[in-house]
Amino acid sequence: MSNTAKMPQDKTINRILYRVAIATSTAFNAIIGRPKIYFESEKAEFKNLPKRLIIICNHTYWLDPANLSILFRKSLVNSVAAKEVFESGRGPLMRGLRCIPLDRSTMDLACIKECVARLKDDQRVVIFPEGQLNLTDEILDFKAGAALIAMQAQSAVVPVYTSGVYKPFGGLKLIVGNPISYDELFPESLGATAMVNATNLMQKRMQFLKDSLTEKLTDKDKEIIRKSRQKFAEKRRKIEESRNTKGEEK
Amino acid sequence: MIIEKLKAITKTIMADANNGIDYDNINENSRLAEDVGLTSISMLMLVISIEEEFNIELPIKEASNCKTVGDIIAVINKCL
Repeated sequence: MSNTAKMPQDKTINRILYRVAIATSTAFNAIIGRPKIYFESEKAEFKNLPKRLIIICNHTYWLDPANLSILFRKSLVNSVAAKEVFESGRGPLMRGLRCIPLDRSTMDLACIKECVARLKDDQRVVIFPEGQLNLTDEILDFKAGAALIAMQAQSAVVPVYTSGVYKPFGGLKLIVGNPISYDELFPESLGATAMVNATNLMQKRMQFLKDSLTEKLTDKDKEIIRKSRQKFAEKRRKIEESRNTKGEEK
Repeated sequence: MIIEKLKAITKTIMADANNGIDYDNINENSRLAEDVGLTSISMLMLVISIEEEFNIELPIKEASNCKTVGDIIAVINKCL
């Protein structure tokens, strides 16, 4: 079987499920969540963004893809997610929520192809270029997958930096950067070095957004974020320990 | 000849690398990382380009295990 043939079909039922989930979450977010959204400039505002778009973001919590899907809902938003997330019977739900599985242990060409296909269909794709949840204060080195997908799909990229806590009434803060056009990403060539340069450009822009958002945070905000990350890291450690114990018992 | 097409593909992918490698001299024994200068991302670009050039779909696990140009040619031959 081919790699792409293993990918889920984009069924009508999945689209309906996705639309219902987005509508419900949008209402919830508008009334309860109310994240504080900043824009790098007017250029970054949602209304000016193209339909075909890669959204890159730092990854601090499992709700990040849902949050970005709500914010960028002008067209269908897909999210790249680790294939482990599809395990334990969650597969159909994750596919319904337009998640694309990524096998991080190998060169997952099937994932790249699926992202490119959906972008060419004028959909949006959320990618976390750090390749993992990051609970530290530093941005990790970006993987080059986002640049490769941008090149293949001839897509612009919009960087988003998020900070804060998923709690009601503005606990979450995020800044939407100016979109990086395809020509800006690949000004001269389309070779391997161009891919590295495009990745570095994305990383630089993300760092700029991080610095901009950090300036807007109060000391109280920073303390809340620190405590929340600590709590989340502890929870993840326990889950990991319990998984390992189960594995050993088997 | 597959090797000639592979030379052309790697030349295109690595054109902006300025690594001093003469891609006309690569042969079946050339090692993909050390002699051809491929990284994980340029390897992915190579696989994508091969699929387009030969109109085939490479088994990704086998492709990612390739260490030399000869290994890649063997995988391509299997798919043709």
